[in-house]
Amino acid sequence: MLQAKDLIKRYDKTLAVSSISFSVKKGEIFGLLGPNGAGKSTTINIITGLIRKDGGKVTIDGLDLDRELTQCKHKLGIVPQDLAIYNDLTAEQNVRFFGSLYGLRGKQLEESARETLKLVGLYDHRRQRAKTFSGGMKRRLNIACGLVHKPQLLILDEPTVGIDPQSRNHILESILELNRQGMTVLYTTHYMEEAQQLCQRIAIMDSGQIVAQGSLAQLKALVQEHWYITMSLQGTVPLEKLRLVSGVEQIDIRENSYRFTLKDKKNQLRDLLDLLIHDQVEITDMAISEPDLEDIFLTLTGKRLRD
Amino acid sequence: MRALQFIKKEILHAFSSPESLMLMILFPFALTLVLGLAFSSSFSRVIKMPETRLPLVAQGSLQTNLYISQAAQAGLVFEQATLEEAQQQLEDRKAPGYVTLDGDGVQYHARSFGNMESLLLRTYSRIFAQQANMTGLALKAGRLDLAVPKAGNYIAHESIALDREPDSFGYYGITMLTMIMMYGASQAMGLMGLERRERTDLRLKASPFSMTGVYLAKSGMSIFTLLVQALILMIMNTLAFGVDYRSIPLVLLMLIPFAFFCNGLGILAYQAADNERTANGFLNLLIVVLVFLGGGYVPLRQFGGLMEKLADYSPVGMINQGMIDYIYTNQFSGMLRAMAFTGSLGVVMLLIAYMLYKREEGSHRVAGA
Repeated sequence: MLQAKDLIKRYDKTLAVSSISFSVKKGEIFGLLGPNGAGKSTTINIITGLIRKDGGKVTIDGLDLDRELTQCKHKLGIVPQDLAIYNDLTAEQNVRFFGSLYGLRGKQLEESARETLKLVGLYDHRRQRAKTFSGGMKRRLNIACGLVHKPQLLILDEPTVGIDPQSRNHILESILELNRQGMTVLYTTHYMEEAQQLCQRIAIMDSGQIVAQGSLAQLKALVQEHWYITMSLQGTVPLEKLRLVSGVEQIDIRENSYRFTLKDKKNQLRDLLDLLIHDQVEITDMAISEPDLEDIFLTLTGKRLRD
Repeated sequence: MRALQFIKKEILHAFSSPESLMLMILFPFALTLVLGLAFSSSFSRVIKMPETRLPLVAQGSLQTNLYISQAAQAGLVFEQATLEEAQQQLEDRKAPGYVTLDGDGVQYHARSFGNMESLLLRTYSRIFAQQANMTGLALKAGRLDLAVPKAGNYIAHESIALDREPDSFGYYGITMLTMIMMYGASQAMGLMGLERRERTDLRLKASPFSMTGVYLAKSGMSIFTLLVQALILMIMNTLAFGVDYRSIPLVLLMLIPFAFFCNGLGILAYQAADNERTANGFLNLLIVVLVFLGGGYVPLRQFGGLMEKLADYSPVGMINQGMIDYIYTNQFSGMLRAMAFTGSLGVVMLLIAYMLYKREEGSHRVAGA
């Protein structure tokens, strides 16, 4: 459905996107995962024709973006990171207007607007002005405006930023439903839970580059020689000493627990436990678990996704 | 068709806040009322002459009767009185003076001769005396045909066309109309800036609808809104203050180039400033200056000299004078000049603004990246 090859974008001397390539298959949800400033939005803006790239090639359903921009635009639906709706218009007026920009008319427009508003759970509020909506409702309207014309490829740029869990779940459910109906989705996020929950394949971005891509299983395979141990500790944790233990690659502090990335489970775990016991740190809980996307990102880049 | 959808959306926007639309109309309407009342005396060219009553001491004769009857036509009313009565009235300040008419001729007795009554009386009496002398001479020469003064129309223009100049309401009915159109520049800017404010410019640009279409639809809609406001204001002024626009449809047509000018100014300021707040501040200042120079607040041409020259070369001044010429003297030349000047300036500004607008396409500012 989408092929991006060797995309480059510079802002003055900064390389925002550095020769990245990826492809999205028809009917899949593809995730672009990375921290803020990784280059996800720039990549999306190139694909949607919002900004000019400095190099590379994009094809959408076999059409060259540079040569057949208008035809490409017909196939795309975009949900920008910032809310892009008319606050003075009602939900229905918003959706109908954006549908009409893609050539929808009359009954087709009416039906499509109704279906879309029902999908995002705003049909009962269709006559309310957007400015009266809560943040979550606005987010949902933002999505509705991007998919009213039933695009072949829906591009969502961090659509759940700053909303309540209920609206977030509603949005994720809507995206899964759309995908079940056959819509291809390109989804950017810096929430690894969302990427894990939604995406069949993921590209991990950092500093304008794709550091890894594939299915979750393929990404996990990249770090298979590592062990991930979570401990809940009480007492003064000698972090600096722990970092010096041979084979301890990362220590990630997550809320009240410590997530250790070890190169070799047997020896390093023993050394780690010895040190904690010696320093009279109480271990209240301990678990060895599968790596998640946060672990993978941390292992591959040495940075946390939330940084 | 998509352009129509766009225009429909702009109309929905405009009517989503009818209060601001009404404010745009009520503001100049209220100003016309206030300024019209405040400056009503400055615009009046008519001096109303009160009827002048004076006591007249005279023997009843044909000459006296003629003197009295002809004076009445000039607004001088003589009331026959005895000398004592006339003197008493003068003394009691009931009359500014009195007139005696006898063998020595017409004499005016008054405490002061510098007042209006004295001037009127002297003028009338001199004419009357000359006419009487002429009659005497004609009789002496045996020319009875010339003895009776003939009434004739010796003035080419029967009256001065006082009604062909605007009174204060007429004047401000025009200048407040052009002022509100100038404020349309801010309105145009707001309409253009709306997409960036709401971040919907991203969606528009990502859609297959061309950005040129967006620009045309927006500026077209802005011009249309401005003309609708002008129309409503003209109707309200006509109904409320009796302002004469000669022909409202024709005036509206003539205002189209000026609407281009106002629109071009607003959109260019917005595109050039790169920031709505800066553009708004600049426009508010510029509009006040242009309206002032155009005689919007006070008729600058009356001051003559530099002020008159400035008004002559100000776009708003040109339009105002053009409208006054058309409405009050049916002269089109001034209006045509103003239409050509403001219209071409408007088109040039819109073209420059369009080039700036197009330059944004594909830039990271549009994408917000």
